[in-house]
Formats: sequence, structure tokens, C-alpha cells
Amino acid sequence: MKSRISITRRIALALTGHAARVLPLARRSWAEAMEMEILVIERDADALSWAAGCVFASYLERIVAMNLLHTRGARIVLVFPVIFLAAREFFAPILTLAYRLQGTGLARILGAVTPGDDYHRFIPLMNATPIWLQGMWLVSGLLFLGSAWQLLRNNRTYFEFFVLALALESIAMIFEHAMPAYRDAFSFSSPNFRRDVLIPVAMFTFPFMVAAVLWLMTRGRQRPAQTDFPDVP
Amino acid sequence: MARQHNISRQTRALLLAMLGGPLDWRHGYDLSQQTELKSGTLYPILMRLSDQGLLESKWLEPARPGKPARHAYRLTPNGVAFARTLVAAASQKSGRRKIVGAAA
Repeated sequence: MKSRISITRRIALALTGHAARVLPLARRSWAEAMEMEILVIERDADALSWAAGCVFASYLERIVAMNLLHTRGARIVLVFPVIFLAAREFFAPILTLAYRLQGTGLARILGAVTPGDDYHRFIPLMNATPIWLQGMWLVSGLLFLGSAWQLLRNNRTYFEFFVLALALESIAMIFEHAMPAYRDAFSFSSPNFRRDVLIPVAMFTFPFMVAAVLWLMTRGRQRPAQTDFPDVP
Repeated sequence: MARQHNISRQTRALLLAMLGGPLDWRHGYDLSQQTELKSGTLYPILMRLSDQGLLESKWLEPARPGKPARHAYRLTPNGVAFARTLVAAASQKSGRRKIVGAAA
């Protein structure tokens, strides 16, 4: 007599088979272990739950094996946001310099990408910004560039450079926000969600997100600590 | 000062469960039932422990004919020692808490 296999059981078996195929070749015995283990689970619902977990574990292992964050390609891709952050730091000093040197063409081009699309609204702010604050932005930008360079060279100091730049930028931001001229320049008559909320929040969180990715990169490349026992998850 | 090991709650639970019978070979599903860890959590931990030399595995022939051979696991001597240091550290910590609680 033919034994009947429920649909749930069939799905569970198919999922475990898929999980076994997804696992990297180096984990072949684990793939077989998953496939065998499901055969001894009596309840179909438990088997399905077990199989779903196996699929999750397999994809996790596959992603870990790909080691995406530690490839040369990942470093090259990450250089772009770091350079963008450097450019962001240089933006205000260059705009101020262009305005002071009567470079109205450059000031107009740069002003077009600011909130309000016009650099004239920033003239009181540029006049009020002390030179040391401009210096902080310049140094922060140079540190970001240093981070990008070290990233290209695959030198782990890229993270230290980045953190220093971010710290300097944050301190400068505190001083900048405390200036009345800053508040005047960034107050608008009509509210605009994209300009007033979305872009500022994105611009604020972006460097921290880049920092998190860089930290993950440095973390994976650390040598194991010299202890009696290795680190485990 | 002794270095603090950064170990997840799930890994700790698994190690302690395996420390209960350090010489016994255990199956994945049994460990899952004892620790209440889902397979999606259990297998990555088992693989990691195995990579670190804290766990050994082998295929065990079925006790009854007609059943499949199963992968079985147990802690290596290094794994047992490691799990014991965890237990010792945990009891030390709870002892300290009791002292602080009594003093408060």
C-alpha cells in the first residue's frame, strides 16, 4: 500500500532540500544533517517549522560565506559616500570663499543646490560664521578624504579617520545650530516636508549609517584575540 | 582581569544544555526541543561552535532499522571547559548580585 504524504510534509521536504542547495559546499554535511533530521520529526507542522528555520539558517550561512563587506568592490563602493561627505564639509567654506571673492557664478551654482535655491539668503549666515568654524569643516572634509584614501589602500585606519571627521563635524554642527543667523537662513515661510524634514534627517543619519558599515568591515577583519577560548556567537 | 566573553543568550543556553551530558551525542532536533531554539538559530550556532573547535559532530547509525542516519553533536574537551567557565562566571555574577542585594 502506498503511504500518503501530506502537502505540509511535502513542502517541508522541499524547503529542506532547498536549504541544502543554498548552503555553501563547505557545509555539505550540515546540509545532509538538515535533510535527515526532518525525516524523524513526527508532526507535519513541526517539520514545516523546522524546514523554514533551515532555509533561514542556510541563507544566513550563504551570506556570511560571501563575505560581501570584505571585498575590494565593497571598499570601492564605500569610497563614494565618504567622498560625498567630504564634499559636504567643503561646501560651506567654498560657497563663502566664492561669495567673498565675488565669484558670483560659482556662488550661484552652489546656491542652486541649497534649500531655497539661492545663495543670497545665506549671505548673513556667511558673514556671521567665524573663520574657525569654516576651518573645522575644512579639517573634517580632509579627514573624510583621508578615510576614503585609506579605504582604497585597504588600511584599517580608514575607520579612525572617519570617526575623527564625524566627531569634528558634529561639534561644528552644534556651534552652527546655535547661531541665530543659521536659524534665520533655514526658516521658510511655507512648510515643506521634503525640504524641512526628509532631507535634514537623511543628511544627519547618512554619515552614521556609513560609519556603521565601516565599523562592520573593521570588525570582520580583526584578528582573533589571544585568549584561552575563541569568541563564539 | 579575566576577559568577558561576548556570547549570545542562545549560545549560552545551547552550551549549558550540552554540558548536562558532556559525553552524550545529541541530535539537532532534540537540542532544539530542550533549548527551545528554532532550527534557524540552532544550526548557525552549531556550525560556529564547530568552526571554533568547541563542538564535534559525527553520523550516528539509527537505533531502529528503517530510520535514517542522523548527525549528532557533542562538546569537545575544549568546549566542555569553555562551557564550565561560563557556568562559573554566571554563578560568580549571581553571587555578587546577592551580596549587593543584601547590602542594599
